[in-house]
Amino acid sequence: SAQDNSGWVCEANAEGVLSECRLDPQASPARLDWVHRRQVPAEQIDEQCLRCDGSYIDPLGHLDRSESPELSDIHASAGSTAIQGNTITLSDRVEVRQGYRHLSADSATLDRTENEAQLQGNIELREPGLLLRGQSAWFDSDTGEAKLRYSEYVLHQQRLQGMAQEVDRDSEGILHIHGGQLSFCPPGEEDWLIRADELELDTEEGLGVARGARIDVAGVPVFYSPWVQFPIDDRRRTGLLWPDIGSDTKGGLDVSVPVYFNLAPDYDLLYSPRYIQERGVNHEAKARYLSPVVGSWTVGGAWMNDDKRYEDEQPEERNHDRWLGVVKHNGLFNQRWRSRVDYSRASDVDYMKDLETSSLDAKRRTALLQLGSLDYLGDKWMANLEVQQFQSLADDINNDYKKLPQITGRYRPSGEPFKIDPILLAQYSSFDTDDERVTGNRLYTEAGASYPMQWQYGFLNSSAKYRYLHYDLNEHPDFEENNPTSGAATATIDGGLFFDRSTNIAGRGLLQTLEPRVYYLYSEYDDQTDQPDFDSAELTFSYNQLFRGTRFSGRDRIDDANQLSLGLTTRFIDDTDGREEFSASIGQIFYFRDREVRLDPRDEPLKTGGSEVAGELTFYPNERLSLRTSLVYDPYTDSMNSGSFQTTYDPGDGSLYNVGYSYRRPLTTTSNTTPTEQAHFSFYLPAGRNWRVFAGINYSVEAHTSVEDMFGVEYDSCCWMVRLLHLRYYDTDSGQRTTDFDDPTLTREHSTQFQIVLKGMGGFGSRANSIMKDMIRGFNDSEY
Amino acid sequence: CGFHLRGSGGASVPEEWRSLFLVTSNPNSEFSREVKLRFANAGIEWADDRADANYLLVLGPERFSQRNLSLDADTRAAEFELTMRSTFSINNARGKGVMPDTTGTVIKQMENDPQNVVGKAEEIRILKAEMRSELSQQILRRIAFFAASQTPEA
Repeated sequence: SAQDNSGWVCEANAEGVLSECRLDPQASPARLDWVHRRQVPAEQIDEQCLRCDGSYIDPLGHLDRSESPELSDIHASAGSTAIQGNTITLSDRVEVRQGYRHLSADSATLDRTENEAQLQGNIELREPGLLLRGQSAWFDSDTGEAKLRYSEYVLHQQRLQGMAQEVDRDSEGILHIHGGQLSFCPPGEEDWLIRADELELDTEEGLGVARGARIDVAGVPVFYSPWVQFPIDDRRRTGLLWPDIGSDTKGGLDVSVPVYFNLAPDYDLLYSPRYIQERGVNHEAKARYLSPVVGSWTVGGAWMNDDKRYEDEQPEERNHDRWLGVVKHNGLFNQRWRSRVDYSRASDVDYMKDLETSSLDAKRRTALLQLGSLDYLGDKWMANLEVQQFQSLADDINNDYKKLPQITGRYRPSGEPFKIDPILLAQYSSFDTDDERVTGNRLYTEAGASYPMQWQYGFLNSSAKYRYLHYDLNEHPDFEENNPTSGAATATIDGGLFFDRSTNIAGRGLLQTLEPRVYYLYSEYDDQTDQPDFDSAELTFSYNQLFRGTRFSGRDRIDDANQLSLGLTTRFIDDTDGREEFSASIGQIFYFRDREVRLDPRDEPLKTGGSEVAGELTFYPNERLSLRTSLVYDPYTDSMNSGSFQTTYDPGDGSLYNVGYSYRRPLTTTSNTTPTEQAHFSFYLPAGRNWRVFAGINYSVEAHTSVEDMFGVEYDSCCWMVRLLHLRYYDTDSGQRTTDFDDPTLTREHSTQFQIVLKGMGGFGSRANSIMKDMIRGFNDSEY
Repeated sequence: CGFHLRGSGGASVPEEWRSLFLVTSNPNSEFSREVKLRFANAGIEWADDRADANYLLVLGPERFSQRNLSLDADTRAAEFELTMRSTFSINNARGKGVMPDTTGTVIKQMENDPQNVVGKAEEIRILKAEMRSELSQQILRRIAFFAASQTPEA
């Protein structure tokens, strides 16, 4: 006879023994607690539910799981009951409750001495997060062990369902599934599923194991493995991750298959053998270790034996092995000692360009940082020991100066108003370089005091200090004096007022502020033409520069100054939550002396009576739209020196739009003299329920060409996602200087990336994903 | 035009909210110090023990990231965009959430010079310190306004 309420249809013989069972394709998904979106309570509808057009609703989901049902009494009821010795025979709809466990069947035989039951027909075993259905079953109420034949199962939280000839649930709660299948797709819509001889599902550990397993996609077997372990929730579990499949003009077909090893709660390893058609196999690995004592450590790297394409391109190189080593560490001991290591080293200047396919930013890098740093964070004092060097990734750029080491001690100001705060800083640095430039040691000290005054309506901070610089240079033809020194007294007065008013725009209460600020900086002039430049640069001019005590980064220049900055800021603040919806600032520095101290001592003093005018504007009318713009205008030459405009719109429906523009006339000191003018457009846009299209372009306005662009498409269904993208970008030969984007040495590179994810079985990161993050501002892949 | 000096009728942190305890992984970091200082200057008393505080400020670490904003003709970064974020929330003395997770963001941009990596690394240090200060100002403002909205006016 046909059984309702189940996916299985069975024939029973005269003795009631089941035979001839088959799956009923017409069975309602509701039997597996699958509820169509229209019936899902509003508070339980989420992104996944929309995409899947429904979700699993667990009727017992709200129950307390802390008390084991084995400790509870058994309550049974049935249409008719017969007792014979220790055997109770129940029939005509049997209902059994034991703590949070619910069990029902058409009929049952209970053995009271063994606490076991034999059940027949329409069996339903429920616990919070679990539903097992079957046609015949054995059950032990002391241990919770169960065997169900012709069974179906649902794990609500894992969004997982399946069927089996037999499901055994052991006393640990692990499901052993014999001759069955499993899918993260909704019942009846199994776009993909795993068939296996044996399946083991451990919800506690979030782990699945399959033996004799086959993955079918759209009914077609695509993968077979005699043994495979996979995660059944978003915890990271040992196993294969989704492969990255791509092809690009830097190496042809490029496939990497990451294998993840979850070795212990505090350390793991990711190993990705990567086959690159024109090059060979790159072995990429990353190990992580997390400890409360020694902090977090990541050690990674890659190694390729004899890169074939590199050999063709650079026959003069003797060694064609390629490698990359990376160490990253962050530690905090006793809340006082902070340590950091950020070290990357590549085999050659082209490594990142050739082999780093995930991130465009990484490909563009011109130097790799090699840093080790240790801080002591005291209440009143801070000390730092640091070693830093850079590996240049371009033949035309020298390796930068190394700090081997730099030691800094400073007093941490209390900042308490109306109290004199000492200023004390001493820094000793030893600079070295591989090339012909001068090397030596440098001592920088400053001492003085500041007096902050603060009221609700404003502030007035004064400070005075003496800065002193002493070098101990090694013999070098450019430097006659080996021990140049310089020193200057510096004083600042920084004052501002806050004016407020309440206002109402478009029915919303806003607090508008008006914040004028005045900053006076005086510093003596001391001749520094005999000093080297180890770590200094001219600071980018912006609104912030108005209120800085120096125009140089690093410590090699003590700038002369007698100048007054005037700035004005207005803000509109949401008066309910304090969010700054709009702010605009404008200001300028007025110079009362020429700036004689220059980064390059050969440069003429700067003589203008005022700085450029800097302006900044941000507009965040709501959580969805953001707009930032900044301008630097030179009134003396009547020219716009830099301008930028960046806006992002995230309407909350899963789409994202960006428009950006930036223009910059370079500083006189930088090597490039042509301005850069670049526009950015990108979007990520749903097209129908399952499709998304996305694209991004960085366009050089000065050269009328696309510097890099990308477009792609993805199909995202309830239980799987596939993504295809194409990227084009310019690449330069390292060491070849190009003057503009029309230069013939620029080569256009192409890259195509393909990504497929069967959802529910973990997986993190991918090349396609990182490229999208690079090209679409604010893009953040949703969890799958 | 209706502007008046702040303090003459303006909002300040309500009395009940002036007793806070800072929950953070690194109370001595530059960022934690900056936040503590700003709040103290706005009249907030930092409790040494969480049992003595009315509210707990749960402060996430500063998260810093850097991306290329534009490229020069060598396809090297001409400008960087620097972003600093921190997520914070307020719990009451019993640890129950009062103000949900809120993220403050500061974005700056600067010119790059590929020939002077060390000098530009020093510039990033200066900008980071300024961003920390702006971020802590944002956090103070959000919390002050939230506190005012939770406290019925006397």
